Amino acid sequence: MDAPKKKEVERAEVERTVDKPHFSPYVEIYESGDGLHLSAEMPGVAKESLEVSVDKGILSIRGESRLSLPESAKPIYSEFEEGVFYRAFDLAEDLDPEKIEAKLENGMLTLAIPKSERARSRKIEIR
Amino acid sequence: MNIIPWRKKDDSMHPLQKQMNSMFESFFKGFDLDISGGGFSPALDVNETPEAVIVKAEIPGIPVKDVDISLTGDVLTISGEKKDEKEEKGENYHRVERSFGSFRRSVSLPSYIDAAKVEASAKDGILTITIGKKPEVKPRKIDVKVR
Repeated sequence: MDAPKKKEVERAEVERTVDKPHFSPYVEIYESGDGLHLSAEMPGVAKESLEVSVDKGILSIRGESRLSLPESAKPIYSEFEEGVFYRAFDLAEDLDPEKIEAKLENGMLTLAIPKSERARSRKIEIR
Repeated sequence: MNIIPWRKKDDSMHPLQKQMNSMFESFFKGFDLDISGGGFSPALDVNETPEAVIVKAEIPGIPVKDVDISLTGDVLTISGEKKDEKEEKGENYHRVERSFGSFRRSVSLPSYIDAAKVEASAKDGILTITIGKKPEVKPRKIDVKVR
């Protein structure tokens, strides 16, 4: 079975200024009681080239992947290439962008976005 | 340029057919059918240098301990399991695009590889396997005699 081709972004949200293919990383987003958990697959992206930012309620992730091949290398067969992983998300207002925790491990970015104190579900005691 | 009266696509369909189609659509809506099976399979790249053949595989989020590499003859096989490492269960999903499960991929390499010279490493979710070439296949110059 061949690997599914990475989706190349046809219409990026930003104008391209880099001559490299842009990919949309595969993500998984789920919600738990304390917030939102996001994981994104960005193989080949090192910590140094990864940017995670929140601006006006838009969370964006961007990273450049590197294959670090020797210069003398010639491709024989190719299913993936170097490029830029980019994706942006609209953050709900009940999330706290100040307290986002990010981790990059084995080419996978994990973000924990906590709910703001006010939006957390509370149990109300009945007297 | 021809001028053709514009007609809504739906008009050409029989009402019953239309109804059947919408029934199918509403039934399969939300399933997000993935014909390829939905499992994970790593993408591969094969490159060659004068000294070696370099195979790269994308294994995002997979610890090296979950990957097995074997070389049988000139066939290199990468197998393993991509696990979903979540602590909690039964959460509220907003988006699921990542795929998980066991995978196995084989690639036939040129016959001149040297099975004794294999090295594997992983960095940032990319697995790199470097296989050396047999010395006898390195380019040799052949003189042409002029008679």
